[in-house]
Amino acid sequence: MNSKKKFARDFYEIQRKQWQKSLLLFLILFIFYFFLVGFVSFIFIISLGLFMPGISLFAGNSLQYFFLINLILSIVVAAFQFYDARFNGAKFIRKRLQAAAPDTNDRYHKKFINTIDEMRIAAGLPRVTPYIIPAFAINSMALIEADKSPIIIITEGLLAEFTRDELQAVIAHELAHIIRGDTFYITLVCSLANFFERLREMAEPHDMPQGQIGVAQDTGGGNPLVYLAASISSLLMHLLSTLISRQRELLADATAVELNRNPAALARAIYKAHVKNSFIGDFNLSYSPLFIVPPESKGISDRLFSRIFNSHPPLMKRIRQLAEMVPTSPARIIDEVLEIRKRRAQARSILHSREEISTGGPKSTALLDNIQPGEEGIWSVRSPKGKWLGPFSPVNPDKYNKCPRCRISLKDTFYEGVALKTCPSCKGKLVDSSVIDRIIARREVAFSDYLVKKAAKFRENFLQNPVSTRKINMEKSQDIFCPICGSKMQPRPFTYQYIIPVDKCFSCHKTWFDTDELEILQLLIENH
Amino acid sequence: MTGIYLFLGLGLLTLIWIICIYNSLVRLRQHVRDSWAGIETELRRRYDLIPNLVETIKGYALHEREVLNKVTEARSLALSSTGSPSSQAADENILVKGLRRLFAVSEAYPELKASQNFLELQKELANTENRIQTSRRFYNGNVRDLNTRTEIFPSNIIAALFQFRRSEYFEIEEIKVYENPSIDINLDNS
Repeated sequence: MNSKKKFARDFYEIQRKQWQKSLLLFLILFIFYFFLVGFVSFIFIISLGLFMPGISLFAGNSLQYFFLINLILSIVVAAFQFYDARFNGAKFIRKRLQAAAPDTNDRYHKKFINTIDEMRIAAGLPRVTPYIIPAFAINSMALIEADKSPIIIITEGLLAEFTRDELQAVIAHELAHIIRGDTFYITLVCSLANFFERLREMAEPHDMPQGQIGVAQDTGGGNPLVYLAASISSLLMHLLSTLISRQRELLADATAVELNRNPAALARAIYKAHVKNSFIGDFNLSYSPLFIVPPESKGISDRLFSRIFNSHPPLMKRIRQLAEMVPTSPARIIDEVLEIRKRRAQARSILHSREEISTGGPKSTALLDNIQPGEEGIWSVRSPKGKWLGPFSPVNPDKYNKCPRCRISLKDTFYEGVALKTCPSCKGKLVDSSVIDRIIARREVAFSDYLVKKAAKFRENFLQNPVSTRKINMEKSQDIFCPICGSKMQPRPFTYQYIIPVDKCFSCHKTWFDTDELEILQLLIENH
Repeated sequence: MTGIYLFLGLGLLTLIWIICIYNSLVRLRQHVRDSWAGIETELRRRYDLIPNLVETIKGYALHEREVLNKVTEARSLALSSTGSPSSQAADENILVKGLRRLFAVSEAYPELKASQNFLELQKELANTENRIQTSRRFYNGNVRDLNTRTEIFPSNIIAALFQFRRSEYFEIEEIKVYENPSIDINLDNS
């Protein structure tokens, strides 16, 4: 009788329906284990009977006992796995992706919170929690937490790249999944399928590299048990994912349009995510049904085979459906994406190097031409005496909120929508280590030719020639102190991929970028 | 004998059918009421912002007393309005017109436009505006469901029997606090 309604308008109604669906999942899981355990132990006992004539499955009541034990065993295993998936699954995914709550001081994050609030109202949901992954890829997902509250996770890259209406469209799409009941189901399915992977993670000691950009790195283990678990996982995944509707992405796209009334924006968003990198780190691919765009999005065809085994419909099919709603053609949508990209590139304000500002006006890039490696002077990799100080180095309280180089009070400013402290004189920047990747992901400023040249020069001198990197060291003569906590800052390379000699404070996790260092870092990554 | 059973069976089926339709109508009506409460919450957000806005503008533009008074009046009118969606919408539209004039007037005061407080309020108002529009969308969706149900055959019979009435759509004008820039580079609209 509700056939006319596309989705329930009442959140509690949705939750009730979800439970009914999950019971079905439990049943399937139970049957799966019943046959798996039954089959394996059947073979085992039969083959045992070949060597020991006393053991037979067909004598007396043993067949009944066999079934009874099998039944209990499979119920216990299925129940345990189900319980784990239901109550730890979402948390595990969130942790694994390093999703964090948005920062209310950050302009982009604030926009995300506001947009989620708006769309949540349009969808009639009481509460949706936003999370952000510090990754440059463009992707988003929705999950249902153990307490049944929905959450939406997006990447930093998406936030930086998308316009407001595209962001709204992506959130509408995720909310559509939530109100259609897909999210609850898929969260459960993916968590069930990755049960063994989670067990392995729990067993292994796990330390994440700190301050690393991107997402967790997988420890490539060679344990045969791992492969066995992985193969059971994928078998289960394929079994369970046949229950996930193939049409759900298309239906969710349609429902999303009902929420945000802007099919063109959603089409643009999907296209952007497909074209740009949508791969989130080394994350297990069996989680791909959760994402708006599958991490392995390139080259999904519409043949029958791939229709069965892919979690998402092909890109052009989705875009065509949305384009028909506007109505326009898919080619026009793609043109629009390119047009917006061009306009945004033009709208970037140009940032000049401090050397240019101090002389007033743009400087000729030719000045950089005859600088030999080593002449720049201030870039160093190690501390002068070659000793690396520990975190309990002397505290110097005189330096609070002062530029470590010029001793001038630092100014609170915003750069690329991120709050940081800048020195008004030398334009050095003090950045919290957790927000550096946000700065790198965002493209609000462009760089003057001089800076571009400087970065190119830097790459030539340092990054492509490790030998010369080692030679040019230890020129940072003075010790500098963290303007926040007063601890001594340690000169370290930014990362080992981008050996930019920054100063890090290890007690309050701040990074000091000297003049132009942050800009060079941005340029190097942007042009990579 | 069989005739009686048949008759009773048919009667029972009809009763079940009536109950089903009645329940679904009640549920729909509940959704409409619920989402109307949602709209009122968002409208209240706007009422709460207006006194601050008026105070801020007063500090810079004393000569615009007339416009400011009008907005204050319109606000208290809209606040006290507890009628049907259409009468609420009429009151809201007066308020929206007043606010629009207020923003048009504020264009003439560069110091006001540069004031941090004013900018924050403007941003917050734009945000509230979006929320009002989305809650309106949700409400109207629910109203559409209910109205369809009360009008299509055969559920309209049940609806007429138990006096389910059509609900009104809620249509109000937008303020458009500021135009989105043509390049949406996320600089000022949060």
